[in-house]
Amino acid sequence: MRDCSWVVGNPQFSNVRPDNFKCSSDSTEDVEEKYNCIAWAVGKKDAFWWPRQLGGYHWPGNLPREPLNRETIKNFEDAFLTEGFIRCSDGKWEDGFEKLALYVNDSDIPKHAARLLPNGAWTSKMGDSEDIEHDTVHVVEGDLYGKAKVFFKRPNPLCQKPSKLTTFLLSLRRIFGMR
Amino acid sequence: MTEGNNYWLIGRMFPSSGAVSITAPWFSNISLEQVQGRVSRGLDLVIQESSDLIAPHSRPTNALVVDQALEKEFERLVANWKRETRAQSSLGEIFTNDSYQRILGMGKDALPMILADLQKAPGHWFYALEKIVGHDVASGAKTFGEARDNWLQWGYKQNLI
Repeated sequence: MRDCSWVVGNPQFSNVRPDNFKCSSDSTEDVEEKYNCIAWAVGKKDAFWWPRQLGGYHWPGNLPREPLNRETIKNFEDAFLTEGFIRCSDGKWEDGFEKLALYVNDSDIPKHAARLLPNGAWTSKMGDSEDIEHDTVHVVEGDLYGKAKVFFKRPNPLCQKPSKLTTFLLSLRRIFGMR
Repeated sequence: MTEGNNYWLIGRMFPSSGAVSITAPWFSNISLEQVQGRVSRGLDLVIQESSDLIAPHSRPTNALVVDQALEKEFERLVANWKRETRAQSSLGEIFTNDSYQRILGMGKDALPMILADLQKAPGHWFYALEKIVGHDVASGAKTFGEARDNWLQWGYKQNLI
């Protein structure tokens, strides 16, 4: 099922408008092959990543499992490192790199992650709901996910600056709300 | 049916096909005529009073007993929980949600309902199951589907499904 209408007007996503995001996958609410935003940010769809010692959920290697709502940025940083991501200063496009953003709440507890796409937009998996593509990293900031505070990157030669045509089309999309 | 009484859930009717699935094996020889025709939630077939149909000595000790009021409250809490956490990837937020915690507070009475919901759809029930049962039946399961299978198999063995 693919229906992101619940996102628009949702007070938890006060920055979301019909013209700054689009639905990009079906919901995984009713499927067993679950993945979440953390897995999606590192390019995986085969597991639900969270630092919890509980059958059915994944956390890489021997990294620590943490108490609920006391997870740490450091643990997520180490998890991203297992996939080749290292910390970087911002979410601006860099040729030859993939980038992801970690969202944390006011207490620096991780709540969400998003990945920068070659077209300059960001992609987020919304829990068990749909993936969405949003124009900037800030679109999904708010009460639910907090703020995009820490950024990571890993080399990927396939990630090159979007062409002028792509940039132009993205600008048009932003101006006219074209999807 | 009287509010506050317990009733025996024996199966599920599928309105589209008219088929009936008897899920409680100790009722496998029951005829539909014996069912009182009571319908709960429009789908579940229940016997008005189980003692009318089954001798007390043959009742399984851990049989599936559904308290109608509790089931209604469970469904209300599940709907709230799923709506409030649909965009959450944080297990902290999913498991500490107020409605989820209230379901946890139901203790072992919630097990048949949790397992039925897990059977119906792959929800995030593993934490509640682990806390209520006291150990992680799906420990070591790498995927959500594997853990779900482990818990459902366990539920069958315990006569909770």
